[in-house]
Amino acid sequence: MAIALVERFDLEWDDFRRHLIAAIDADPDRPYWDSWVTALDGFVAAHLRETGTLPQSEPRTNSGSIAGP
Amino acid sequence: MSAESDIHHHPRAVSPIEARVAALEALLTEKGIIDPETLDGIVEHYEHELGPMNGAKVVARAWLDAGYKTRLLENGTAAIRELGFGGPEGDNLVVVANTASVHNVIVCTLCSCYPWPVLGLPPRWYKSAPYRARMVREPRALLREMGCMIDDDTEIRVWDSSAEVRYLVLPVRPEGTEGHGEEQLAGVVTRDSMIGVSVL
Repeated sequence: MAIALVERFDLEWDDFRRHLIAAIDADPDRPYWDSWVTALDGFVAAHLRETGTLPQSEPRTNSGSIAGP
Repeated sequence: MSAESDIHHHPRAVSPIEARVAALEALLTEKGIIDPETLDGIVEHYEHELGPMNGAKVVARAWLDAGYKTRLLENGTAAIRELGFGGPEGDNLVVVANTASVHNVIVCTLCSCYPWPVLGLPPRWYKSAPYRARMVREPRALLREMGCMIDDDTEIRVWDSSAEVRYLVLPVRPEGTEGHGEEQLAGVVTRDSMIGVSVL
């Protein structure tokens, strides 16, 4: 999904990678794939807000997630 | 009720992470941002077309063709493209050659950067915090724990992958492979030898 989105948003892999590094750094003991999904959530939310697909006022969870906890 | 009928009639509970991924996929599909066919194509590609069998072909070619080896060490991305390999996480590929006096090993200290076009997706241990932290701090000890004994007089070089560069180790051709054809040579190359956590 991360790969599909990077291509769909016409971005670079590094744009997702920055979210991944931040997610790992935020909780180094969290299982890798949990950090990955957190990163994916943040990446999607950030891009959709930037492009106006999601309104800025949409309620956020602590991680800025758009897909649940 | 037998265990087998339990499996058919009582699917296992979905884990929280699976639920999150499913919710995200459903939302993105509903918004028309991704479509299931595209996802299936990507999964197919990463399951069947990417993997260490690609890197093994690159290594075998380098062992047999000195000119190819030179090009590979000068410009990994261009050289692997000669064999039809490339794509995401392979745009800036640097190949580092093991010798009698130098042993190379790759890591990504920040996340899990890995040369997908030639090695596929990284193994779980490569992404783990202990590997990422210890390989740069105590490579010789960690390699030993992983079953890779490197002589004290052999220099170990640790290459930290990043957004800018991915690395691939060119292992030393093992003895006893003289006369092997390219396909046979590729068959002796392991994924772990191309990461640098084992020798052939």
